[in-house]
Amino acid sequence: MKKGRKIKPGRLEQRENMIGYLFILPWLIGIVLLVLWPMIQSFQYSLNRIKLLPQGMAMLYVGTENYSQIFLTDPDFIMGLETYLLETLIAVPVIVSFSLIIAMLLNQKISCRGIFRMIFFLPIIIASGPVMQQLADQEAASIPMMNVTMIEQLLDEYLPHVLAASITSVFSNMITLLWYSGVQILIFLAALQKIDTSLYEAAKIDGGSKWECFWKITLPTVKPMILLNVVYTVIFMSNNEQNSLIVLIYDTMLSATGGYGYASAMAWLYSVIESAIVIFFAVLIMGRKDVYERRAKKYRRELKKEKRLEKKIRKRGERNERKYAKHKQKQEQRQSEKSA
Amino acid sequence: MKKKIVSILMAAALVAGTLSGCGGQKSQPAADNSSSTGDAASGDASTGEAASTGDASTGDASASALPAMTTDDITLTYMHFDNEQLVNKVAEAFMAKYPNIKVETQAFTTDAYNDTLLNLVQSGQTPDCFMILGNCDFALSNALLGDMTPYWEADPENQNILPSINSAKLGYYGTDKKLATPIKFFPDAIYCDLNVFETLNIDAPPTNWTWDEMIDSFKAATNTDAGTYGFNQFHSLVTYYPICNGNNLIGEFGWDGSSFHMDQWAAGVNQWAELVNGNYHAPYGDTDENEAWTGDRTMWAAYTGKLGFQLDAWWTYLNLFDTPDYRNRGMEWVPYTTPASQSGYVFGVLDFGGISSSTQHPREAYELLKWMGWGVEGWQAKLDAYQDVETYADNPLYRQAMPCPITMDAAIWEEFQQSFYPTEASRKYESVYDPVNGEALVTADEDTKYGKYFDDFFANCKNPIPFGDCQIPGFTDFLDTSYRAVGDSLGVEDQVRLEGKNANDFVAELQQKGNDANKAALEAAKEAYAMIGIELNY
Repeated sequence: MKKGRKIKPGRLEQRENMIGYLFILPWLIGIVLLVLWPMIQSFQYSLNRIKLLPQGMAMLYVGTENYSQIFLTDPDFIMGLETYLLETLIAVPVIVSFSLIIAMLLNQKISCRGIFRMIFFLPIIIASGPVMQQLADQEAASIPMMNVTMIEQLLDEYLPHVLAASITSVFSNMITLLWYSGVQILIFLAALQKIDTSLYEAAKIDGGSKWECFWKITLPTVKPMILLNVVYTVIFMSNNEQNSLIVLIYDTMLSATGGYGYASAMAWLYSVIESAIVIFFAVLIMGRKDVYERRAKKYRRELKKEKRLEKKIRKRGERNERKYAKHKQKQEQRQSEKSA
Repeated sequence: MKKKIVSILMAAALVAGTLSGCGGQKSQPAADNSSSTGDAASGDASTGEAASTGDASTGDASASALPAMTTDDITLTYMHFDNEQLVNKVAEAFMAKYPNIKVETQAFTTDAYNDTLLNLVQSGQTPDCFMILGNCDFALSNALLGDMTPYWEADPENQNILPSINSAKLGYYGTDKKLATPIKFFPDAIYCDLNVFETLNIDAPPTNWTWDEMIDSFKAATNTDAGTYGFNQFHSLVTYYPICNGNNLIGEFGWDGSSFHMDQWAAGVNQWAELVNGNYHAPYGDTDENEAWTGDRTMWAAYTGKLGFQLDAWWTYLNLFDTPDYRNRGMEWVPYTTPASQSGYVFGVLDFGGISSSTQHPREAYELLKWMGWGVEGWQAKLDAYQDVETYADNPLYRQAMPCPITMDAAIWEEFQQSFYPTEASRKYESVYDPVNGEALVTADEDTKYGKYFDDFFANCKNPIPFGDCQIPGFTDFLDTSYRAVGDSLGVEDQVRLEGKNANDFVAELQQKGNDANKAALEAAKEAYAMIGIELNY
C-alpha cells in the first residue's frame, strides 16, 4: 500500500454512515429552514426598511441606517439593554447557585424525595408565559416578607442608581427567578448522581469535612454543568415573555416608524449582547482552574525547576571536573618539566 | 437486516413527514401570492371599482350613487375580534341578501390580533375586510387599508350615522382618503351610584351636566364622615378633558385633526392631580389607604358601595354593575355621558375597520364592512339575533356583545334599547326577562327611578370621539417614546401628581414631540401608499 493514501471505508461502513445521516436529516432540515434561513432573512431585513403590503413585501435598502438610528434616536432600547445587562449579570448567579443548593438537598436520602423533586420542577410546566405574567401583574413575584423599598433605599445610598435599581429588581422578582430554576435543578441532580461515592468515602477516611468535600469533590465535578446551566439560564432569561426588550422589539415591529426592518436590527443587536454575556460567563467559569489543577501545575513547575537546577549543577560539576582535569594535567606537565 | 430496513423506513418516513409539512405550508401562500399579485396588478381599490362600476351602473337604478354589487359568485373574507356567534349570524343575513356572495368570517381573540393580521398579510392571505385593534399605525405604514373614499362619499346612508364620524373625519387619519371607519361603538360612561347620593342626602347631578358640574359632584360625593370618595377612574379625566372642554378638539391631548393643543391636556392633568391629592379620588388598589378604607387591600373601589362615580367603559354595566352581586350590595349605578364640549362631542370607545388595499372586490367588501358595522340592515340582523333568547338562553347575545348602533336610524335605536334597557319610554315588549336570574329585566320601580338616566344617556352619547391611538397616526409612538419617558422614569402625570410639577411646563416639549411623531407616521404611510400607486395627501 502506498504511503499517504486514504483507506476507503467498506461498503458496510458506508451504508451505516448513510443511515446515520438519514437519521439526522430531519434535524438538519429543521435547523436550516427554521433557524439558519430565518437568521439570514432577519439580517437581510435589518439592512432594509420593510413594508408588509398586501400586494407583497417591499424592501428598501437602507444599509446600516437602522442600526445607527437605534443608537441615535432610540433611548428606550439602549436603556433597556443597559438594564437587561445588569439584571442578567446579577440574576444568573442567583438562579444557578439556588439550583445547585436545591439539587444537593434533593440528592440527599430523604423521604418523599420524588415528590419534592416533582414540586421543584412543576413551575416549569405550569408557569408558562401568560401564567407568569398574571403572577407578576398581581405582584406575586416578590417575597411578601421582604421589604424591597428599604433594600432599594439602602442600596441607593452606596451604589449608583442604575446598579441599585438592577439589584432591587432581582429582589422584587425573587419568586419569579427562583421559579426559573426547575431545569437547572434537574441538570445538577443528574451530575450529582454521577459522582462516585467512593470519592466521598475516601475523603471521609482522610478526615475531610462535608464543607471540604463540597469544595474539593462536588464542585469540581459539576463544574461543566455549571457552565451548561449558566448558558441555559442566560438564554431562557433573554427570550422569555417577561423580558421588556422582547416586548419592545415586538411593539416596534407594529409601530409606524419601526417595522420589521428596524425591529430586526434591534433583535440582532440584542443577540450580540446576549452572546457577549454567554461568552463572559464561559470565560469566567472555564478560565478558573480548580485547586487540584492549580496544585498540579505548581508541582509540575517545581519539578521542572528542580530538574533545571539538577541539570545546571550537573553541568557545572562536569565543567569543574573538566577544568580540574585540565588544571591537573597542566600541573603534571609542569612537574614533569621541572624534574626533567 | 430487518432492523436496518425498519430503521431506514422510519428515517424515510420522518424525512417525508418533515418535507410534506414544509411543502404544505409553502404551497398555500404561494397560491395566495399569485392571487395577491393579481390584485397588485389591478392597482388600487378605486381601479378595481371602476371595472365593476361599468357593469353595474346600468343594472341598478337606485337613488344611491354607489355602483351596483356584482352578480358573479364571489367569496369575501372578514377578519374580526368581535363576538363570533353574532358576526356569523349577521354574515348569514348578508349572504341571504346577496346569495352570490359567500362570506367567510375569521374570528381571533384580541391577544396579538394585529400581529395575526400582519402574518396573514405576509403569507398572502389578506382578508377583504378586517377590524383593527387600537393602534392604527401598523395598518397605515404597511398600506393595509384600501381607499374607500368614493364609496363613502357616494353612500347616502352615511349621512345618517353618528355625527362625529363625519364632522371629525374619523378614519381619514388627517389625510384626504377615507381609509377606515368606526364599526363598533361603546359610549363611555361615568357611572353614578345613586345610593351614595341618597345616603349623603344630596341631589344627583343633571344628566346633561357641564364639566364644572361634574367636578363639583365628585367633590360633593366625597365625605370623610360617611367614608365616601368622589370618583375612581378606569378611563382617565386626562383623556376626557380636551375632548369635553376644547372647542373643535377631536382627540386626546387636544388633537384638532392636524396638530396637538397640549394646553388643554395640561389643564386636565393639573386638575386631575389636584383632585387626587385633595383625596377626592378613591385610594388606589393594593395600598395601605385602600386597606384602611375597605378593610381589604385589593378591593375595587366601585365594589365598596362608598364611591360616588366610576369613570369606566360601557361593558362594565352589563358585566358587573347589572349583576346580582352588585345590586345585592345596595349599589344603584346609572350611566352619565362625559360632559359635552362646545362642539357637542363626548368621549366614546370606537373600534375601526377597513377594506383591504388588495381586495379584488372593493365595492362588495365595502358593503360587507358596512353591513357588519354601521348599516341599517346589518344592525337589524344584529337586533334579530339579540331577540333570539332561545338559542342563547344561557348567555344572551346582547350581554356578550354590547356595542351601540352607529347608524342614527330611530327604529334601530328604539329596538336596541328594547334589548338593552327597555325603559318605560321605550318599552315595546311586555315580557323581557333577565335569563340569568329569571327576573324582569327592568322592574316598574327600577324603571321609574333609573329609566330617565338611561334614556338621557342614550340620547346624549351619539357624538363620540375615540382614543388617540385608533385615529391619530404616530400617537402610540408618541406615548411610548415621549409621554411616558419625559423627565425621568415617573412619567409626566406622576411627576405632576407626586412631585408637584406644573403640567404647563411640559406643554412646549410634548407638543413638539407629538406633532413630530404624527408627521413621521404620516410620512411612513405616504411612502407605503405610494408603493401601491395611491397618493396620500395631508
